[in-house]
Amino acid sequence: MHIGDPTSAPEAEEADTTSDDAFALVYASSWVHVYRYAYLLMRHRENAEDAAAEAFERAYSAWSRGRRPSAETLPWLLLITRRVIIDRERRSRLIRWIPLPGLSDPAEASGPSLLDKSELWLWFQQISRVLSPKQRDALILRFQLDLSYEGVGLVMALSPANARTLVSRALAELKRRPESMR
Amino acid sequence: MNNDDPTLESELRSRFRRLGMAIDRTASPKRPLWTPGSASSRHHARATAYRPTSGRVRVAGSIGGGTAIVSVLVILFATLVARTSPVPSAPAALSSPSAAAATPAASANPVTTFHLSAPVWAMTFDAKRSLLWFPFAPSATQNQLGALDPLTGKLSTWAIPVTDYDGVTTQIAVGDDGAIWVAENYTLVRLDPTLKSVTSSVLPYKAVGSVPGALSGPTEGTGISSMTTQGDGVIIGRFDVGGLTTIGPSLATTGYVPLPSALAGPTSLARGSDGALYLFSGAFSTGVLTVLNPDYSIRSTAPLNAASIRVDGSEIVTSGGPYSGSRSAPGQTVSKIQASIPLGPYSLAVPDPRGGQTLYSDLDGGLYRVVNDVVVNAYQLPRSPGGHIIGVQLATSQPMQTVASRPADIYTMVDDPSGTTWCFVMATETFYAVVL
Repeated sequence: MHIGDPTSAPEAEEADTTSDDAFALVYASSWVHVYRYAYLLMRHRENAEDAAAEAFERAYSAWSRGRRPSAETLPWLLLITRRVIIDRERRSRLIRWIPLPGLSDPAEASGPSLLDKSELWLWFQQISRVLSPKQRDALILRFQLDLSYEGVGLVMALSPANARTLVSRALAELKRRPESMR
Repeated sequence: MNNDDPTLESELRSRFRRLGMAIDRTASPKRPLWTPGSASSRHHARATAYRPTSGRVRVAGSIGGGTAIVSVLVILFATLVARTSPVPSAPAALSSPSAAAATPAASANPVTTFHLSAPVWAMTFDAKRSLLWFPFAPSATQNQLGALDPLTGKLSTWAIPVTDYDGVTTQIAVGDDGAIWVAENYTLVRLDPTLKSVTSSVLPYKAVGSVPGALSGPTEGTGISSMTTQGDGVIIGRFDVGGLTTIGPSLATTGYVPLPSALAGPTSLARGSDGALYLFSGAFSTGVLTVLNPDYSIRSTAPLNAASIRVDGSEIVTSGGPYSGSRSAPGQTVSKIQASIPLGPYSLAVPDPRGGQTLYSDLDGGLYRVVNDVVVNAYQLPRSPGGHIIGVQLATSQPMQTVASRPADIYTMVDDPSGTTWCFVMATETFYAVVL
C-alpha cells in the first residue's frame, strides 16, 4: 500500500534565552537533590535519570511560561519529580509487558552495584520495609533533602502539621523497631 | 503525638547525608538531566510542547498529501486570550466565546492541518454541532476548552480551571444534552449545552470504594481514570477505586456503583448501542473487559489484550499493542488484523462510521483505514523532525543531538461522521484531518 507524501512540519520556535539562563542556575543548584530524590524513590539509575530529566523539562516548561515557585525552588522541583514518578509508575503498568532489549544498563544487569552492597543502602532498604511508603518519603524529604515541614507538606500535598505528624509517626515506628537502625 | 527525638533525628540526618553521597559516588546519572531545548523522548515531547511561542492557529491544506500550504492564517492567541473570561470560580456566564475566523481550506483536499501552539491530549467530535472539541493550555496560567469548526477554521475558546497535571488522563465527552464535559485528574468541567457557562468541581482525594494502597505507595491517588456520558451527566472511573461514580449536570454526585476491586481504575468507559456499559481495566496481558447491563449488574468479564478500547455498537475496537485495530464481540477471541502494520503500545484505533476502523501505528506514524482486516487506504503522517539537542557529553562538553526523525506521535484520534480522521501530532502541535 502506497503511503502519501508527508506535508512539511511547522518550524520550531526559539526558546527564551533569558529564561534559559535563569533556569540554568536553578538546574545547576538543584539537580543533585532532584536526582537523589528520584533515585531513592525508584531505586534504579536509568529510571531515576529519566524521571529527573522529565521533571526538569516540565519545570522548565512551566518556568519559561511564567509559572514559577513563589518561595523556594527545591520543594517545587521535588513536587514535580514526585508527580512524574507517580505518573511513570502508572504508565509502566501499561508497558511492562514489552521486552526492551538493549535498554538496560549492562553494569546494573550484571549484578548488584557497589551501592546495592553498601551498608547504607542495606539500611535504607531495611527502613523502607519497616515504614510505609509515605513515611519513607517524608523522611527522605526531611532528612536527606533538609526540607522544612512546609516543604515536605508541599511536595506530599499535606499541611505542614500533617507533614510533621507523618514524620513523627515514622520516627516512632523506627524507635519501636530499633533493629531497623542497626 | 510527639516522637521527636534529637538523637534519632541527628542519626537519620547523618545516614541520609552519607547515603546521598554514596548515590553521587556510585550511581550518579550518566547524562545531563536538562539542557535548554532538550527533547529526547515521547515523554519529554509533552513537556517541550509547552515551549514559548507567539501562539497561533494556522490552517493549511495540502493536495494529495503534498507539501503545498494553500492558506495560512495567523491568529495571535494573545488577542484571543485577552478576550476570554478568567477562570470562573463559580458558575458564570460568558458573554460569548472568544473566536477568530480562519480561511477555509481552498479545496476538497484529503488532508487539512490546523496548527495550535499547545499540546492536545484528548478530543471528541460533536456531530450535532459539527465541532471538534479539545482541552488545551495556551499559557501557564490558562487552560481552555477549544472548539474548532472544520469548515471555517474558526476556533472558539472557553476558560476552564487551570490544572497542573496535563495529559495522559485527560478525558472529554459530549453529553446527550449537548453539554461538553472535561475530566483531568481530580477536576471535572462542564460547559453547558448553550455553550455560555462553564462550571467545575474538584473531586475529593479520599474516595468511597478506595482499594487498599489507594492513598499511599507509588501510584497513590484517586484521580479520574475514565469517563463517559450518561444521560445529561457522566459516569466516571477513578484510579484505585473499586466502583463507578455518576455525576449529574449540577456536578453533584448522583450515585455510586460498587464493583470488584480488581476492576478499579478503568482506563476506558464506553456505552454500547444496547445501553450496556463497557469497562476496560488493567492493560495488555492484564487487561480485562467487563460489560455491565444498564442496571449495572455484570453481564460478562473476559481478558482483553489492549491498552484501551472504543465501542462501536456492541463491538470492541482495541488500541495499543499487537491487537490494535482488531474488532471483536465481548468475550470473543481477539485476533490480530491481517495487514502487516507495525503496532506498538501507543497505537490507536477508532471506529470508522463508514465501516471498519482507522488505525494509527505508533511505530511507523501511518494512518490506515482497515475494513474486514484489509487496509483499503493509508496516509503517512509527517515524521517529527530530528536534530534536537538532547544533552551534553560530559567528557567533551559537546552537544548530543538526535539525528534521525521519528514517527509522528499522537495520543488522541477520532473519526467524524463523514469518516474524516482527526488526530493531533504532538511534536508539531498540529491537527491533521485526513480523508482516508
